[in-house]
Amino acid sequence: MRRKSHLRDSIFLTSLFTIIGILAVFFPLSYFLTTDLTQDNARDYSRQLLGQIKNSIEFYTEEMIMISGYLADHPDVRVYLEGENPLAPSSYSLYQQRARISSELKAISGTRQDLVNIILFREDGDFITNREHAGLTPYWDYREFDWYQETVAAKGLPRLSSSRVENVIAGEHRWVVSLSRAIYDQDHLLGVLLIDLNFQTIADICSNLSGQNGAYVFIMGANDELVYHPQQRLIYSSVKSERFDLVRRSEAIESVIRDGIIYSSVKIKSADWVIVSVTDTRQMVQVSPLVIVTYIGIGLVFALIALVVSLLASRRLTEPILALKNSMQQFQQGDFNAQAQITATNEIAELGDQFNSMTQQIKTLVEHERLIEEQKRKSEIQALQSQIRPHFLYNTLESIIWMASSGEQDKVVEMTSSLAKLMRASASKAREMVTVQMEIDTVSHYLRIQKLRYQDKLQYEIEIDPEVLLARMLRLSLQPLVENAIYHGIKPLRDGGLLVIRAYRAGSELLVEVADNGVGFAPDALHASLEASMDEGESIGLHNVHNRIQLMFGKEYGVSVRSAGPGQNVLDQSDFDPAAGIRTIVSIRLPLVFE
Amino acid sequence: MQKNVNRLFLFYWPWLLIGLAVSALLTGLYLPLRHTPFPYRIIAVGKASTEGIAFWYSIAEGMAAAANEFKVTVDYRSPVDESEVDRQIAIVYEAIAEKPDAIILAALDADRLVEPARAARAAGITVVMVDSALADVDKSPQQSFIATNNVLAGQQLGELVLQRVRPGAQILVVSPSTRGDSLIGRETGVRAVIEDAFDVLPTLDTGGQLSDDIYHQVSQALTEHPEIKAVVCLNEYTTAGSARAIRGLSLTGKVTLVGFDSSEELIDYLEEGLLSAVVIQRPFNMGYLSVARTIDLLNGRTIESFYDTGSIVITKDNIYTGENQKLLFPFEN
Repeated sequence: MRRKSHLRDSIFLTSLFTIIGILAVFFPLSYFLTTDLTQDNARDYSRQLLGQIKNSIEFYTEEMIMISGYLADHPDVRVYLEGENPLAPSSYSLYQQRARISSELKAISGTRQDLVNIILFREDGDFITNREHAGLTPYWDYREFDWYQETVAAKGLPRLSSSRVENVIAGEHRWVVSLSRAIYDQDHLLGVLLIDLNFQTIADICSNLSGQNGAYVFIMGANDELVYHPQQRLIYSSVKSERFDLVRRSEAIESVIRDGIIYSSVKIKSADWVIVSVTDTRQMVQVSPLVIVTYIGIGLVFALIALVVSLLASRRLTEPILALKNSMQQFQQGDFNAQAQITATNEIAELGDQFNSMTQQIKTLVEHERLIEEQKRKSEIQALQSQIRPHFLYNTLESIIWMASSGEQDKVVEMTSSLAKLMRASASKAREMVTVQMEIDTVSHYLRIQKLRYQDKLQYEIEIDPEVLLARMLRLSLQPLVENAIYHGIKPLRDGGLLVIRAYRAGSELLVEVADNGVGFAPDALHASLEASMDEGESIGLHNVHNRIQLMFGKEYGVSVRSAGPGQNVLDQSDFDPAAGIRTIVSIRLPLVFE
Repeated sequence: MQKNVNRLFLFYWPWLLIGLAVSALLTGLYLPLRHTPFPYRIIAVGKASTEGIAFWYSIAEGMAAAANEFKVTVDYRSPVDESEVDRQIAIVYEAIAEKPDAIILAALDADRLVEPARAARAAGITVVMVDSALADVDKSPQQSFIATNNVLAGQQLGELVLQRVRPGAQILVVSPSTRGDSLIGRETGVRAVIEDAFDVLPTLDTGGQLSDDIYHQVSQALTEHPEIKAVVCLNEYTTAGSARAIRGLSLTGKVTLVGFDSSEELIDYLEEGLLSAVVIQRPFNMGYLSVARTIDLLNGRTIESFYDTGSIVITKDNIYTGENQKLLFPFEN
């Protein structure tokens, strides 16, 4: 059996999956758009932040460069660096110069708390600092330090160090960023100037301005070493790592986004430092399971709404179709009054209207057909009925002629009287159906006529159950059977025969039997008598009655014949007195109807 | 019509059921997720105060860095100095009473701290050790241990002696305590390397007190044993005390001193040459990792039973290089 698929289910599923499909596209799309937007905002913010930090740091580095330039060109410094050993007792003016330079350095560092040390090294090892009592460490020779040698090699250009621990001052280890500058007279090295900026200043700038939303800032020096990183110690020991490959050494701010992390970098103007801000947007857009679950939850609510909506939509669409289908089934089962009740106003309603008018038309057509059919049947029945009259009349009239010619006056009168009554009874066209009583009366007239003709050769008995006297049967349906029994059963007998008419009720049926003890039927003759056409002479009567009954009441009713056949004495299966010697029974079977 | 309604329900019921099932599942996922934003509360119990002792200062700094990064609270507590085992035990019990999510502990006494740690575990508190573990690691209540591999660090100390002192010479090992797990490990490491090559005196246990007392004890030992050619110290303040004793006895250059950990004072001694070398640890990393791994544990992840944070040999020549500067001069941020 083919699996039934329903239109409603298809509509429901289609709209449901369409809506779910749209949701499935819409949510990720809006999620990614939000993510992108957040990322753009975060990038703008990080660049802004980076600009601020760059400005702050440049403020300090440029100030140091400015101070170094100022001091390098200072006449007193020049004289001091070019002069004789100031410790030589004779040079009083040089001692004064030392004092002037020292107070100048103090004045400069006094205005800037961030400047820890300003030290002027003379090429011969002498030095002046901004700090009254600070001495150089005895454990190291500063001239062997890398920074010193690189500064000398830089030929007068300022050099900004990475973050470092200052170790030239005895007993002090401070984190600083140093600006150093060699002072030359043409190619002759006069000395080196060292300015130490408290590293805390730089660290504070970086840590104060970052710190929101997991963003942080770090600084890379000239040799890719870390000047500042909030997790410097973890990076050194590889507990943490940093994407140094994403750092761009550019004077303009450049941003690289990798795996949701924004790396914005910019090189500061006056030195080879790159400031990098790292913003983790993954925390901002919260790719947390919570958000995903929330999104799915909202999606589910929408999907449920979609379910209900598609349910309603599919019902709204298919209900009129179902109504139409039901009406069609009703119609198919023969109810020509079936009308589709469709309340909608769309194409389906149009379809329903057309169905309705179609059933109306078919109903009219069928009605018309039935009328025609009925008409035809009636005319057929009448045709069959009228066949009886001439056949019988000839026989009777011949008998009357015969009796009249032999002068049997009484018999002529009786026969003519009976014929007249019979003719009156059968000539009435008023009703197709008559009572059993009336039909028996009619047949009695006929039998009287025949009795007059055959005298003792014909004996007859009529046994009618009073219960069925008023039951209805076809007019002139009994007479042909009686005629048939007389002509085919009794007439061939030399010594005459007995005819019995019985009418009784059998359940809901009326049985009228005409039995005789005549010669009987051969099975072939019997068959022929029922199926014969109207033109075929003698058994026409039986056939006509059978057809009339079937036309009137249907195929389950009609005439049946039971006969013992020629040469056989006993008719089985009948409740007639065996002494009577009944050999043929012709029965009319009719529905028991009392009008 | 009745028939249609029934069929309608038969068809749509499964969909409704699936919808309800998914909703229930999501709600089930949603509720526990909502609770994760609440920060963990961790109490760290160190061996000594962060004030004036660079090592514990750096540990606390590392813990604070991790607390800041992972949005948890870490509360550092400790006795004033390493002689106060009873005080540390009391601090652990006080911490248990506050019902934190985890306790990070540096055991002053490997045996005596087992009981308090068990009590913490019994109260449903995660216990992670830092710097010094509990005794009998297999049965101890500790869930992980983040520290220098002290045996390896001790071996590094031993190697320093091997490189600097003539074989067969008399060696003095100075330890602030023989009970702490970290110190036991270092001594084991040192002895494993030098025992055979030298005449190693019984370890001088200074009893956990600070430098002044150590100065006297080491001076006395050096006076009693004039043949001592090298002093090996197992922590910061025994190194400082021994350095002062050597200088006090004018033995600079005659007695080789190697020590453990660093401080401003020790760096001066290194630059001066009084102290030949030190083996230093990474206390910042130790603090940081102890918190990070504790959070991993609290989040239900499986972690190792031991994390080695490493140790580094510092001599005068490498004080001012990259990482070493950061380790030797931890600055305030």
